[in-house]
This record gives sequence, structure tokens and C-alpha cells, in this order.
Amino acid sequence: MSKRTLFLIFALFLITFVLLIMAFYQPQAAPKVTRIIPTPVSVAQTVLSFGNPTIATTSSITTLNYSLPVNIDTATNRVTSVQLELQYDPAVLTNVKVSVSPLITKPDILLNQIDPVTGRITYAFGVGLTGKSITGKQTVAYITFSAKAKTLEKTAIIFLPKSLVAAENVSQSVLKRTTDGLFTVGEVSSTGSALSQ
Amino acid sequence: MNFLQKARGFVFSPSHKRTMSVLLMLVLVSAVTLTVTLSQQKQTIKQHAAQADCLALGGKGCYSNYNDYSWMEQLPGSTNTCGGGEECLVVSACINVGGKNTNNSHCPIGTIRDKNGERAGDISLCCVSGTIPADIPECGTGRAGCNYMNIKDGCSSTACLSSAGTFAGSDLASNGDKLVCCPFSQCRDGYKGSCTGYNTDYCPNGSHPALNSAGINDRADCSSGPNSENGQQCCVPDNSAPSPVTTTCSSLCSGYGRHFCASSNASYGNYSECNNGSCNYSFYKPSGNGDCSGSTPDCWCDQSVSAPACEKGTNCTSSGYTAPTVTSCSSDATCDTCLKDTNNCVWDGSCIKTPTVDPEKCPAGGTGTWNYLSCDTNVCTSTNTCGQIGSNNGYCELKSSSGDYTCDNSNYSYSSLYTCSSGNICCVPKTITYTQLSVDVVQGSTTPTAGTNQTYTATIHDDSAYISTINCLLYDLAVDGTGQELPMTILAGTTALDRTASYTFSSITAGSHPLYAVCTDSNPLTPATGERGPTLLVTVSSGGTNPVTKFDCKNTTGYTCLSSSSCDTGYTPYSPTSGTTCDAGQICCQKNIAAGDTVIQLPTNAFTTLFTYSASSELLMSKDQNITVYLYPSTFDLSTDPKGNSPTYKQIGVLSASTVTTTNFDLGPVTAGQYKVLLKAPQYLRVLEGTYTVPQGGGIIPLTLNKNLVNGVGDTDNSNTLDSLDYGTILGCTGKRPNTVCTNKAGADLNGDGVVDQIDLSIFLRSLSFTNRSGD
Repeated sequence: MSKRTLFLIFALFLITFVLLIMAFYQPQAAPKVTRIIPTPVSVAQTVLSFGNPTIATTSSITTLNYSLPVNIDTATNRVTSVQLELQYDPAVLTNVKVSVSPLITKPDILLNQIDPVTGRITYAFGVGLTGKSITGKQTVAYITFSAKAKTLEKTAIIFLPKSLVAAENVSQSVLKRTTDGLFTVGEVSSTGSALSQ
Repeated sequence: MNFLQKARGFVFSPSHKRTMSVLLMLVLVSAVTLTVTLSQQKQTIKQHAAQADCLALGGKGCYSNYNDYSWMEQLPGSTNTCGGGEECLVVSACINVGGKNTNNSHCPIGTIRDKNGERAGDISLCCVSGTIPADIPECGTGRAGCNYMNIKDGCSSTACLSSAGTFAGSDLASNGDKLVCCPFSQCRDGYKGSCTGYNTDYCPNGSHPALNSAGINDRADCSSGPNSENGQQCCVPDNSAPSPVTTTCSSLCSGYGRHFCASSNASYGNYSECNNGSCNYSFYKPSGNGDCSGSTPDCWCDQSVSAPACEKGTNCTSSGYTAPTVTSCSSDATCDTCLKDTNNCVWDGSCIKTPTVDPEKCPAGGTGTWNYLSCDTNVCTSTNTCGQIGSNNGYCELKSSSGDYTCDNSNYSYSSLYTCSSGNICCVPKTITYTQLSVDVVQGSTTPTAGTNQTYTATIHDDSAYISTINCLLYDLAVDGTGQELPMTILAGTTALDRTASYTFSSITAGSHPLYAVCTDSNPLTPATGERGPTLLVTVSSGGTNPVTKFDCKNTTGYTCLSSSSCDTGYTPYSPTSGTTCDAGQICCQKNIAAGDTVIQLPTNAFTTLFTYSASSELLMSKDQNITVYLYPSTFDLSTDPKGNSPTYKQIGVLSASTVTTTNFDLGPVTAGQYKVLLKAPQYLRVLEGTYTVPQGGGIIPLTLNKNLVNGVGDTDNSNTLDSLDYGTILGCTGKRPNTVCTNKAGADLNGDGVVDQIDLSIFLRSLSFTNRSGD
């Protein structure tokens, strides 16, 4: 093999190598490290909120029945009991009842006090002695109520400060935050939707 | 086979043909790679060109695919579609989803909004030259409107410009939200209080009363409305208004939380009566009974009301923190009471106070390194004498694009114990093992004799190398496997990492005692509770006697232990059959009733009266109980002191279960007058037994037990309320739930049998059905 051939082979090798690098190398910016102050994690991680109300049934021409889910997001907590302290407007909502979600099997109903005059709800339940603790995001209870259907009404159901959430291995309430429910009830529009949150 | 022979010949038989083949292959490879490289460069050039075109058209840049502006969505009813692969965000978005662009293509009204329902800034650029309506009534003189959906400010159809002419994004920015007004009826929910430029006449129009985003009626101009009451700001519609929410002021205010009653001129976000410096983070009720009657209004602040600076953290409610008494933190000196933990660290960044050395943990003359967590950084920053963390600080860094939790610094690892801002992870030094709070096997005699004193010791390893407070409990599984919690005394170790804890059985009982220890650490760098230590099986031989409940002479008011054979003047020897807690060689002496003292006297059957279910004649308790007697003035509101922190008079005594004797609670000299007399036992709701008169000069007041305690059992945390937390505490102590640690066995053992089980849970549930769930 002549020197010229060897040189040609070597040159082609070199060119091929360079072109391969050019073809496949994609420079990336160095990852930026942002030093942000860490914050300690509180044991209270659970959030209670309301879902979207839905029309359950229409019992009469003038009455609409609704079902409002009460949702929980436990984050890292393993919840064993929930105490809902709620306020609603008794002038707008009637026949208010609370029930535990079917997902919680064999619950202990601890408190079930609903005052239709003041609009005050105290409802508490537990998962039971051997029941699985509540974790993650799910619906834990439903509030059912009726509204007169003459006109659209804006109303609210809010969580009061005495609401509590108990969890395993924690002696105090793990309720971190609540989100109140603002929505409209009343006559059904032509599209069949009378609710908005 | 033929192929293999050819390949072998190709490799081992040099030839001109082989050389040419190699050269051909190299040329082909070079050609391919060169083609790839050139084609990539061509593509980049094309993109740059497209970018230039896009910018020239008023766009914001080129995006490679539809997903780059997928935040836009159509509202129902729109026939246009968004995107479709276009590369220029603004231009293509305007053409397809709304706005009006250089192509003179209008955005259909009400068809665009971003994922949060907010106006997106780029979209405003779509609304450029062209026909803009003349002055519209809603905008006022000299201000033109634009058929543009200004969702941000709540308008559903009309926005106003500072002047007629071309609409530009700067109009919104320079003029602010107030100039972007709209008819009240078109404001979206939650924004009806913000369109102040137009809606200054809510009530005269008889508009529907609006709730603000907090669900509060905040209309400031209705104090003199047709339905105002007692001068209070009850903004309700007149008869022409559609769909009134409520009809009377009293009904507004009786519903706690939703409504707000103020005396005058209070507007949302500025409740002078309520926002007076101590408004809690969520709701605040300064005083009053909730019906807005009387001279003091009832106020419920919502979360949008600014809380005092010292309360902005959530640690106020955490154990070990003190609620601040100051409303501002202009200097360190005002923040002494603000959120200081046991390590002198102040966690709320608004109240930073330079920590001082804790003499308990850093004794004078001690050696080593003493560290602190700084208040707002949660990392150890200062180093004095005594400790070890030093430079081992954590930090946050951007999470890698692949989503894994690997720290850039190989000496650091991800820790889930801390949170960083979105998209970041917290990295902590690998040199610290944050999960190591371990307990060695409990040590002590495994075959003691019943009735003897036995001490058991556990060694604790705290590898976090952080000086902190550790508490340990010894679990005795003697009864049924659920365990009895016994508080262990922590002894100083040879180093900060290695300490010991011990517990002494004063008279250990016969039988099998499996023992193990569990410790908790106040160090925020470690998990709160460490793993349980190995179990030590202790077998106690019979021959001793089971312990009996002794009268606590040492700690009972009116009693004292004396190291002599006779009591001092004014005292009488007290020798119950159960014995006393006095040490060997001491006698228990009971203070005599002095002249002028007032004595609350319980009847001889007090124990059974207080602890027997009235409906079933079932006695709940069979062991002595500590009872506290409280005296409050007859006019005192008991709800203001549920834990009995500030009674006028208070006396603790022991109610014996085994002996039927009269029990006296000597209160000492008591000012004459009428008092509410209450009884309280641990785990039971406080009971108001009635109002009694204390005469001048005192005397013995026989107490008629009108109410028993047993129907209100289950108050595990002595909050004077039975609630979900009590239920959770009992549930967690039954031992029936895996991976659950009992946090308060003494409180959860409602029948006092030493075991927390289904019986205690049943007692609690039964109590809920009996009682009003709150004491008094």
C-alpha cells in the first residue's frame, strides 16, 4: 500500500471523525443552579375544598336539588378523621344534608349537627378502627341541598376556623388550608346549566 | 460458508481491491455525515429567516409546534380553532383565535382566554389598527372602546381605552385597571368590586348585590340604603333589585363568617374595626356575640386582609412557638415573643432576632461548636462554641429536565424534608444522614422479681449531628400487646450523638414485659419520630405485689411530705390504706382548715356519682382520679377560658375510688360573693355544678353534685371539647393501625385500664351521643 493511499485513508478518517462530531454534537447550556432558601415542611399538609355542584334531581317545578362534593388533598398526611364546620345561607339553601363518600367504608359518624336557622353545619366522621386512612386527592363527603328555582342566586358555603382534620402520628390538626365554595344556584338555563363556581 | 471465506480473505489478504473498498466506504460515510451537517445548518438558516418574518409582522417569535401556545383555549360557541401547526405565535394566534391583526382579521369576541381565565398580554397585540368604535357610554367622554375581551378586569365584552384610536397593549399597562371599566352587570364573579371607575352607583341602580371574592358583601355605598339597619352596613337591594341574597341585616350577621357587620364606612380589605392589629390569618372576631348587636361589631376577616407581619408564618400554632404580641417588627427588640423555638431560632423571617446561646445546651465553659438555624433561611449559618453542623447547609437547585432528583453537586442528595420553589429540589449534604434517629436495645435485668424497682436504659444515636431536644418513651407490651407508654428520662451522653434514656419501674409487676423504646427529635432536620428500637423481653417472676395507686401527697395541694414522725402545727397526719407517694422515712401531712378558709366539700359518694353512667348505672372508672375545682365569678363567661387558665380560685385534689370518704377542697381565704363552681377531671369535659355563695369569713360549702363527669369523657387533649382530634388520638393508640405511633396514651385510655382499645373508642362514641361535646 503506497504512502499516498495511507495518507488518503488517514485524511478521510480524520475528516469523517470531525464530521461525525459536528453532526452529532449538540452543545447544551450548563444547568443553572439557583440557590433558593429551603423552607421547613409543616406537618399540616391537608387542604379541604369544594368541587363543582351538580343538579341531583328536580323534585318539583320550583325546587332544584344539588350535590356538592367536599374534596380533600392530604399531601403527606394520612387522615383518620375530618370535622367539617361550615356556614351556608339558610335563606338560599334548604334541606341541607351531609353524607360521607362511599369510598370511605364503615365510617364512624362522630357529629352530625345542621342548624337550618343559622346555617351552621357541624359534621365529623372517622375512618373507623381498622379503616384505611385517607390519602391523596379524593372526595370525602357530599353536601346535598335544595334551592328555590325562581331566579339565579349567588351564594357561598364556607369553612369555619373550627374545621379539623386528624391524621396518624400527629396530635394536632393537619388542616393547612380551606377553599370556600362560591357558586350560583337557581333556575335552569336553556342549556341546562345553572351552576358556576 | 462462501460468505465467511470471502470475509476472511478480505481481512487477511491485502489487495488493491480491498484498498479501494475501504476508500469507498470512507467516502460514503463522509458523504452521509457531511449531508446531515449541511442539512441541519440549512434548517437553522430557514428558522432564523422565519423568525425575522414573524417579528416583522409584530409577532413575538417562532415556535416549533402547536404546544408552545397551547395555553389558549376556545370558549364554547367559537367556530375558529387555535393554532394548527403555525409557527408564528402572535400572528397565527390572531388569525385563528381572535384579536385583530395586520391582516385585518378580527378575533371573535369572547373567544380567547388563557388557561387561568386571565387576559394574556400577547393577545392585546392582536387588537391593533382598524375600526375602533367611537366613544361608548361605559367608557366616558374622550375614551374609546375596543371590542376586546378584557377578562382580567372582569369585562365580558367591552374595554375602554384612554383615547380613541389605535389600541395597544400599553393602554392597559399605563392606565391601570381602573380605566378599564365595564358595566357592572358584565363583570365576572369575583371582580365586581374592582371596577371602581364605573360602578360608583351600585345601589341607586338597584343592582344585584354582589359578593366579593371572599363571599362578603362589600358595597361601600349602601350604608343608607333602603334596608340598612341600626346604621350598620347591610347592603341589600331595594324591591326592584333581582334575586336578593338576604333580606334583613340580622340574618346577614347571624351567619358566622359569610357576612360582615361594621359600624360605618368600612369597605372590603379595610375593616378598621376588625383589622386592628391582631387579625388572625384566616378569620377574626374581636368581640361580640355574632349578631352584630350592641356597640361592638362582629367582624370576620378573610385571608386577603393583611395579617400583622409577625403572623405571616404558620408556626404560631406549632408546638413550641409563642404567638406574637406585637403587630410590627420594626426592630429586634419588639420581637422577643415572636415565634422562638427551643433552639432560639426564629422561623418567621419577619421577626429575626439574633439568637443567644442556650445555657442549657451550651453550658458555660463547654467545648465544641454551637450552631443555630437562622430564622429565615433554615440553614445553619452561625457557629459559636458547641456543635457540629457548621457548613453543612442545604440548597435548592433546578430539577433536571429528565425529572430525576439528582443533585448537581455529587456530595449532595435530594431531601424530601424541604420544599423549594416550583421546579426546584432541595439538596442536602450526603455526609449527614437525616433519617438516623435510632435506639439500641433496651438494657436492664431480664429476670427481676415482682415488686422490686427496676431501671431500663436505652442508648440513642442521633446521626444528624444536630444538638436538639429528644424525648423517648418506653413501651411496655405487658397487657395485650398495644403497649403502655412510659416517659424516659434522657441522660447526658458522652457526645452530642450518643445519649441514654432510662425508666425505672417503682414496683414492677409479675409476668412478661416486652420492652422497646421510641424517641422523637425536635431537630427539624430529622424525621419527628425515629424507628422503634429492638424489643427486650423481661420476665418478672412472681412473689412481689402489684402496685396500687398511692395517694400523691407530694403534688396534691393542701398536703405535704415531712421528714419527721409528726406533722407541723396546722397539719394533721394523713395515712390512706393505699399508701402515699412520700419517700421512706417521710409522713404525709394534711393542712388543717384554717379560720376564714372556704372549703368545697364533696359528698361521700362523689366518686361513684361523678363516674357512673346515669342511664345504665355502669361505673366507668375504678381507680383514683385527680379532680380540680374551679371558682369563677357568677357573671364570668366560661367560654373565654375553656382550659381553666384563669379561674378566680382553683384547687386540685384526689377523689378516691376505693374509700368512701368526704373530700374537701380547701381554697383558703375566698372573697365573699357568688361563684360558679366547676369540676374537671383529666380526659373529661369540665362540668358546671352550679352557682354557690361564699359568705364573709368563708366556711364549708357542701357541693350538690348536679351533673356527673362521665357523660363527657373523651377529651384527650383537655381542650374542653370533644372533636375529631380526640377521635384521631384514640384511633392512633389502639395498636390496630400499622405504622402508627400513639401520641397520647394517657389521654386516650378513657377507662383507665392501661390499655387503649375498642372499648375506649366505644366510650368516646357513646360520649358524643350523650353530651353537647363542649364542657360547662
